Amino acid sequence: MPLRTDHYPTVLLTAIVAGLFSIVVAALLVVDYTRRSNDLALELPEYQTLKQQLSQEPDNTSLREQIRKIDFQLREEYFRQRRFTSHGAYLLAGGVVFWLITLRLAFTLRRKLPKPTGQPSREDPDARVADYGIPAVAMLVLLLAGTTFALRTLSPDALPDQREELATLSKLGLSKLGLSKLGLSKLGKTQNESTPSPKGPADTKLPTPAEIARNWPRFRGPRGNGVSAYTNSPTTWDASTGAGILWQTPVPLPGNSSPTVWGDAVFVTGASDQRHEVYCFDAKSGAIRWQKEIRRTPQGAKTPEVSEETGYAASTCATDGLRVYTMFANGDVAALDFNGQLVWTVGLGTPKNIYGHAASLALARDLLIVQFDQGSAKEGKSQLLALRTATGQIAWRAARDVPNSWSSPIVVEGEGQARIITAASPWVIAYRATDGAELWRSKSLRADVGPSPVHADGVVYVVSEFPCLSAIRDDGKGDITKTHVAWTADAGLADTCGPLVTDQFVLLLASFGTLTCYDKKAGGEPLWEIDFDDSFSSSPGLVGNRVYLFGEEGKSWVVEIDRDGGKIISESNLGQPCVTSPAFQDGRIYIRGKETLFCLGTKEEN
Amino acid sequence: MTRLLRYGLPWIFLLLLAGQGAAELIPTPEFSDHPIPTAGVPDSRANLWQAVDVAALLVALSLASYFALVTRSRRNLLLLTIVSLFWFGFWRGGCVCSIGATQNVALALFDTTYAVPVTVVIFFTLPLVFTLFFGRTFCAAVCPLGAIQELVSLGGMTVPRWLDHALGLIRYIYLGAAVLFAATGTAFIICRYDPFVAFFRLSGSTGMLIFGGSLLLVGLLIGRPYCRYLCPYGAILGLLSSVSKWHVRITPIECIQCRLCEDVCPYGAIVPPTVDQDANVKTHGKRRLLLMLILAPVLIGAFAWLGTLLAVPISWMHPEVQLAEQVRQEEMGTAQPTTDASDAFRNSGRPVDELYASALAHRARFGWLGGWLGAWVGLVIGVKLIHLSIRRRRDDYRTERSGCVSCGRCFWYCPNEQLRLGLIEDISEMVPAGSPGGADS
Amino acid sequence: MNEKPPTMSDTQPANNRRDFLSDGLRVAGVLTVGSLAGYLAGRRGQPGALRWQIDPDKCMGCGNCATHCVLDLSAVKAVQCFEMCGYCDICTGFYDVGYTQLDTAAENQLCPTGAIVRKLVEEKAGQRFYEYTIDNPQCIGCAKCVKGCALMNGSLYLQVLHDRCLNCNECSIAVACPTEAFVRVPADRPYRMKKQALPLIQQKAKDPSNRAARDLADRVQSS
Repeated sequence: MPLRTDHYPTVLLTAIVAGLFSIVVAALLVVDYTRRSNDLALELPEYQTLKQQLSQEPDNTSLREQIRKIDFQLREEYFRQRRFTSHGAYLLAGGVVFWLITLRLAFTLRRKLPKPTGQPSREDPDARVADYGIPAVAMLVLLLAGTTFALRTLSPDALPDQREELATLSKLGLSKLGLSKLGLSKLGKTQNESTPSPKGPADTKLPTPAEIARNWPRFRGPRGNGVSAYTNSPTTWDASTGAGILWQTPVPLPGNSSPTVWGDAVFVTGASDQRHEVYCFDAKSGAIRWQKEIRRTPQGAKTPEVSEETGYAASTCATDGLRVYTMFANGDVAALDFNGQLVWTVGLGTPKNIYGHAASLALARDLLIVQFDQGSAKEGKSQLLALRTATGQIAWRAARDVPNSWSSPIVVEGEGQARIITAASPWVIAYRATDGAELWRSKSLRADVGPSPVHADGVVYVVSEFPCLSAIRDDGKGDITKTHVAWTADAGLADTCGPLVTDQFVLLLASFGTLTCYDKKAGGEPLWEIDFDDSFSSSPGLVGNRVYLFGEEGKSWVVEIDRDGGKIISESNLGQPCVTSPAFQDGRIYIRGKETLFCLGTKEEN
Repeated sequence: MTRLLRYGLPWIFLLLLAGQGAAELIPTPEFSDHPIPTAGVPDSRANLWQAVDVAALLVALSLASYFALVTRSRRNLLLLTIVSLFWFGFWRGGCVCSIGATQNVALALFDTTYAVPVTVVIFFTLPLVFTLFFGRTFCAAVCPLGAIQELVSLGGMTVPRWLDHALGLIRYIYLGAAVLFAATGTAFIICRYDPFVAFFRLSGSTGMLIFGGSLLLVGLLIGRPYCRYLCPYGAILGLLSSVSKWHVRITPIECIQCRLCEDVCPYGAIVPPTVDQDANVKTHGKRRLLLMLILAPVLIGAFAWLGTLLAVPISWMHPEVQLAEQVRQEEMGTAQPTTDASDAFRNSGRPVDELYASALAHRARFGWLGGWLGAWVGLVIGVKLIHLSIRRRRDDYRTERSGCVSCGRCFWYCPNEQLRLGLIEDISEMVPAGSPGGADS
Repeated sequence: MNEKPPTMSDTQPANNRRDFLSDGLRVAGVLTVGSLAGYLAGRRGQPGALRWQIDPDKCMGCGNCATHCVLDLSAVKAVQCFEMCGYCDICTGFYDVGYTQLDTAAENQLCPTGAIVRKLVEEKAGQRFYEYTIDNPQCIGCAKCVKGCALMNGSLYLQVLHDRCLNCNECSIAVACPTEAFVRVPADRPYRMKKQALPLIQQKAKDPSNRAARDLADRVQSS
């Protein structure tokens, strides 16, 4: 079929028609494509909302109908769009090919011989290019060098730089994943990972024992025993009139953690299932100085199931005047400086804990002690960890053959080597603070252990709902159940509140409202009991010879004690439920209610 | 004691759950009159096609060479182009293709555990062999990527020589990078950034559709932009073509220097005859060549050094390094939220230190490879400069062998060709006497 | 008419050296290419053609298969391994977490396209057993059912279906796969099964009357 030049108009017209056709098809395709929602259109938010609504009101038939209708429409649309695109693509391809062929034909028909004019160039065109070569290459080198350095600075490079660093990392067990994946059960009883010389910023400014004693650095005070260093605490307050309350400030997120105090900073934590926060209150004004969200680590990405009584912020934070250390129910531990800047976070992995993790943090000089009990004893997941306060590196960890517990560890310094005492079912175990080596253990507890141990004058007092309150002499080695238990008692046993040990007595506060007093040396039968018309989760505090009790329903009592009995010297009203333990400072008490943080005290006249 | 009750229930529930989790699979029931069916899976889409493809390639290459060199038929070449586009492009979806096969071969050479299919090897080697004998006839009418651009190309714009030379270097660099990434098992970047495959499949990512569409639009005026400036396989073919045994020629007999073909090649592959240079220019040329010869090793060294600096950015192409970076950033709390890949990694139970170590090893390797790539870039530029500085004698208008894709567009413009085809009676019909290439000159 | 292939016209002595060089290079080129091809093709027997496939034991059901395939409707779809299925009444692969009734209404289904067919097989000892079949054309490979079923038996899993797969040299889903579950398998056995399912199928395939099982066993890569 020879084409002649006079076919040109026909061919050109065909080409134009084909071109127009292709443009229309292409435009339709583009329009349809832009109308496409995300690739899985069936995840339309409105549709999802409707479905959620339905789960709340399962009997709503109109909602049901609506969902079905939308579902049908979405499905139709999804497949229609794909059919449209695929058919359109075929049409477009055909149209374009036809257009090109006719266009080419048209061009060929109009093809004309060129008319070379002038003289052919006397110069080789490439010779000039070669002359340009060197400056061009110089520019190219500069350009590429620039690009190289730009790429180098722009590309994220977070991997540890040196092999040595990597080696150090794994040695220290800093790689937190390694921790959860290594399988602690395989590590034997005590994993001693202490390194020859812990690197990292040296803390030369660790607080002195006197400083610690002046402040309230952890749950139940400097020694974890609820005993105040001051004697001038207020005895009455009333939320309805505001009498005896210096300030009260709402805490944004709920939490069952108690306040800790260092200087003029008061710290509490709060959390929802989504958000973890730390608050720093100004002790003078009660204003929130800063609040900081602690973002979850990947290890703690899973939100644990917790009971309402525990919540997500049950662990009381700890502070050493340099930083404040916090822990939440998902196993995330974090350190912030006093300006609220995050220093480090470590995810220990979401613990398996039936009510939710509740153990508070403790400090042993430059080590942060985490009692991380979880699962059943058989699972072997429980452990005691010591993290370097400066870096969050794990200094040591000890595997624990106990199930999940809710009691907080205490640190005993002086009277020999520093040691950590922990309570869980059934073992009370003491560890050496420097390397986590086990010192002694005593089989004194059972079931769910909530109350924290208290140490006084070489004796450890532990209690749980059953079988008994035990006074264990803290100077043994190995299993000392049979040899070192000085005495036991079984009346008025506490299941949540820690014991209160004075110079002469041991007091227990049972959650059903009975304060029971024992003789510290002899134990035996209770000296006396007082019943209160409330239930208790808040551990009692001691100021001088007065015992402070905060009830779950908002009432609080101050009881003066001696050998013959307790005398209720005041009954006050906090105005809101309280399950946290008080922090005693000079002339003040900080106590967290369900909604607000209180500073109890009277204005100093000056 | 309320507490025990209160918390007792969840305990029991948990125990139940734990018991269930530990259990084996729910057994498949045995039914009285319903045999458990077995789900069928569809057959593989035409394994036989692979053999057909090899045969089609051989036939297409032979035909293309025959049309370009023997019958000199532009029309047949064009028809073959259309057939190839339909067969290798639209029908076979653009896979297997010789350009991409480069990477499979590279991977097979460096990774002995990778078994490269024979079809792929044939697709890689056959065009090379044909090119060694007949020039780039593969590009003329066999390669679907060339075909789609050939059909689109209306010619017209001449790219300045300097730009043409400069852009032409990209394909060598691209080749180097493609081999590097393929050989390390990192990625097949030629396939990933294949501009036209989305057209062949009539579906693809929007980005690649736009890229391919713009190349085609550019290709309307500037002939075959992908072939000339990007195609890594074209780079190899160009080298081989310059030493080919036979090659397509503009004129069937002898050049009469009529200059009619001077500007007609849309691919800028027709070079004019050289003229005698005067002594000054010659000395200048010699000095320049000397300079280039000295410069080349310096360039190689400089680029190799730059290449080693690129270890971190280059290694980002590797999935393992990407994963390690992500995991590390999550660990440091700078990346939120986690990705599917990092979640999967955590589920795998593989120690994180091992991942880091492996990523660092990759990175170190990419430092070396980046150096090699840099050296390759330096070599390519150096050789180009030297090549430009060497003067060769040409007596007539000729195709530049490495750039010519044997499309046969220039045939029609040659008076001798028109004479051969009987379109004209005498050369003077096209070239009036007295003009530069006049019949009597 | 030019009957012979035209050769280079410039055969003057000045060009002899270049011709010689060209010839040498060409011979070297042919030898290199030939030996390369020979080496690759001959190495360790003859590797056949390869196909992409998903290792279902590695797949985490992220959903990338639905969105990353070069095909608008992905070549990856869910398959049901009946031999592993528990025929549950409350199927976690079929029902959305917030289902309100055990029926096939849209609001209760997990599958966004309704591609799972639920059919009562038998009621035994007060327990109802249902068969769940994938309606292939409806399936878009989103892996929602795969994730759901993973909570129980994991009998639903994704496979690259080779009547649709274009077998790209670089599979775009493989690039996007977070678990490196995409593998190249021999083209004559282009499917993979879960480790637990393979022996069940192989057992069934021993029965000569069971053609379906034999067909499947023949198409599944056994290692």
